[in-house]
Amino acid sequence: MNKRKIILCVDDEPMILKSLKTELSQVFGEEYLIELAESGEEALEILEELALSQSDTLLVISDWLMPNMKGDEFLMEVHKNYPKIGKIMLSGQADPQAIERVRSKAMGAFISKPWNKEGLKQAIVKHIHIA
Amino acid sequence: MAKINLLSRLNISTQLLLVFLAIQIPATTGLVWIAYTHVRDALSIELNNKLQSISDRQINQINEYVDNQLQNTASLSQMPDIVKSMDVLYNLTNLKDKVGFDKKIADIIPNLFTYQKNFRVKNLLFVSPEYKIYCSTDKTLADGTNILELQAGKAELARAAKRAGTILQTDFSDFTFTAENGYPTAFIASPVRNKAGRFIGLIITEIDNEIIDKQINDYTGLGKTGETRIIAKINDKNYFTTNTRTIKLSNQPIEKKTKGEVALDKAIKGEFGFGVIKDAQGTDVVARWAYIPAIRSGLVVKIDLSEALSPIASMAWLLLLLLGLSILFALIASLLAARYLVNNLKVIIGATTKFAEGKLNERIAITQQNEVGKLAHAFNDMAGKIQKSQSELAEANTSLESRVKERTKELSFANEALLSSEEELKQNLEELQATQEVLKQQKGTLENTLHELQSTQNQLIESEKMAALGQLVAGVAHEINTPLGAIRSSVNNIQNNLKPTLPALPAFFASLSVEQQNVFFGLLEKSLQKDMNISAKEERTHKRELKNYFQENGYEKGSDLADLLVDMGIYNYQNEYDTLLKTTESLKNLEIAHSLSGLERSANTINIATEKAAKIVFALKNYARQSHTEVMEEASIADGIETVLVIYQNAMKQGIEVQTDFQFTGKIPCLIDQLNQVWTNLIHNGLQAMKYSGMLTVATKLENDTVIVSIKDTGGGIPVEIQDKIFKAFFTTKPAGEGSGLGLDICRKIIEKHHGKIYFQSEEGVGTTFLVEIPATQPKIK
Repeated sequence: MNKRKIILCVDDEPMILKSLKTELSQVFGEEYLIELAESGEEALEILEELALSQSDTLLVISDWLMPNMKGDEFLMEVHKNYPKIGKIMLSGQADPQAIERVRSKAMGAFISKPWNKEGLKQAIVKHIHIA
Repeated sequence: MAKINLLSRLNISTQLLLVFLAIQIPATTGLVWIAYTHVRDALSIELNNKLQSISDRQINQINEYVDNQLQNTASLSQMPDIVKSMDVLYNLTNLKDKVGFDKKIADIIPNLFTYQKNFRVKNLLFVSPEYKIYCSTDKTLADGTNILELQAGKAELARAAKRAGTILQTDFSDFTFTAENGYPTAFIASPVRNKAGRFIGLIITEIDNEIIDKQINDYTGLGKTGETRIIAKINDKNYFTTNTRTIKLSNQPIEKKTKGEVALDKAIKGEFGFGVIKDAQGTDVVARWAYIPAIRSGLVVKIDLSEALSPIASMAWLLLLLLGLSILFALIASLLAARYLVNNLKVIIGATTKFAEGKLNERIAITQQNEVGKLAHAFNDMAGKIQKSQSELAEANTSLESRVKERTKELSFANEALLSSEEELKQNLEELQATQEVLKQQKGTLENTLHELQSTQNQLIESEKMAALGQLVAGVAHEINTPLGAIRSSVNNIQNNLKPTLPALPAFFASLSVEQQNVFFGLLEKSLQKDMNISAKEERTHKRELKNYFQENGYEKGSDLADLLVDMGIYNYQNEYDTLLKTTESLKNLEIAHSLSGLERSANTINIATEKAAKIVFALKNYARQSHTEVMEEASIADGIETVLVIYQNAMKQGIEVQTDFQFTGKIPCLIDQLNQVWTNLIHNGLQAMKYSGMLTVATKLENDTVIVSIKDTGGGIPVEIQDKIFKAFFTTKPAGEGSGLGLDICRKIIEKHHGKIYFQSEEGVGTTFLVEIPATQPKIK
């Protein structure tokens, strides 16, 4: 039986992706499959593939400061194409205007690095339920 | 109005000259033109008459010759001797008496040449009624030849013979070419009848074209270029039938040289005319053309236009000379008239000038009764009146003087009053001097302020450094928070991993067979060797391959297995772990292996994150270290640049590619902190110039004991108009608040402290390279 519900993590730092995957697998591993992408562009490709393969992507967690496409830009693009997907921006530092954009235009949450495990977990639960 | 003004500016001589010329030139030119056209028309008529008489004369001569030939041929055919000879030949032929025939021919031949000579024919032929040649003066025609079978040039001969033999009348052929020479020629054939009236043969003559040639090449009255041309139509093309003055007929017929000669074309069509045309050689000629029916040919008499017009040309020169002379006379006449007029006027002008100088008695002696005389009279009148009013003025002047004296007295009173106000002015001056003192004091204050400002500038220099740091802090936060996030998460993960896994381990191992245990540890071992550099994308590909493998080979929960294995760094599966994974407990087995190896992965992540954070902190520490001593210490410039690049790596993530080429990494005595500030400034400027997108190339090298650092960006370049300003203090292109404009000024000062230099090469649209040169050995400063 396939796990078809997916959480997609996007960060240009592999160490963040690895630790996030381990962390999320421990909490949500029974229910969700954790997918990883190293850039916004790669993430958009994955989202498209997943949509075609009938998988159900429920949440995207993205860094802000990445080469080329930045987190707020990426999350707004996700919101435009997949409005039902929950969005969380997880970043060590972000432009206040970018955070505001994610909140207002992409209906997303912002969590700063280093993150608190409980805080992230609650934000995920909250935004997945919105979806 | 402008014209009148222009005219009035000219002196009278010139005005008169212009008037004379205005009358003279059109009149003379008109006369000359009328004379010229009259002469030209007369010449044209004369020329036409002349050419007509020449052409008429030549046509007559040709007609006469041809008529003569026709009559001669007819006469020959009726000459009793010839008729008799022809009759004998006819009979001998019928009797087939070959011997008698040959003997008769031998008798006739000498006579044949006599006839040829006497009758001025070119050739003479005796022909049988069957058109076979009995005998001939033409050596090209063998006796016995059937002339109807003749070809090419002699075909006309056959045609004339056939016609004469058929209608039994003398016939003149068309012109044709014979093989012997280039002259076109024609034939006349006449039938011979015996006394009984029987047709017994033909006499054929060939006309002597050289005679026609001689006649038409008589150039009497045709000057140097005039000539006559005759053409005949042969095989539908126009050919000269005789030599002309300019064209000699060679052995080949000339057709091309007649082409394009309109007069010839018209003449051969039967037209008669006169006009100026171009001949076939392209020369303009005056020509007369006509058709000569007797020889079915066209005739053109022509003379070159230039020669025809030469009398007019010399006359035109004469007329031009006359024109020039008459203009010259007009000039002289106008000058003389003007001088006479002006001399009279000069007398009046002289008198007026003297009068104006004050000689009021000056008058003009009137010698003329015309306008000049009237003018002199008017002047004398006016002079008298002025002299009178002048004496009246003198009287008035005297009374004025006494009044002026009175006024002067009044003025001296007023002057005294003015002297008292001068006192007031002196007081004002003193006040001004006092004000000046105050100003001097203020100047002192300003000088103090300037000193303060100078010290403020030094503070600003320091704060510029801090401003650059401030801009960095935001990015540095991200750089440090990222590894911190990874560390905190990984620590959590380790704790969470151990809690559920540790208690379950003894039971788990107990449930495994010895073989399974070995495979399990092999799996763990393999996992611990995971390559940490593999990308998420590659992992996804491996996961997909593994999942497909498991599903195709009937493993349960293939997708989960693939996910866990890839996480553990196991990308190829060749059933080596089947004893663990091809059981009902496969997922549980793998999850425990994943948990245990996960400890290692988390620890690895922590290691990487710690290193990264430490690197950032080290760079910041290097950067922020304040060294207030100005003592140079041995340090590596390349290391310094490296440090700055580490601090900026966050800012460059978004689209900057950095290339470094450190050919020189050695240590030199320098103020490394201050140099780092220079690199920071130059790199920061470069990044801003490229708007954080492009290629930054940083290089060091050692040349001639000098370290050369180059920092090159691919930004917009520095506009030429500000290139000489950028090193000046307080010059900035950045919006207010972002840059103080001290950056490059400080850089220059720091480099100068090192006895080096800083300069740049910039091209708009391509980018800018800043170059810094620092001597590798510094003079000792104590």
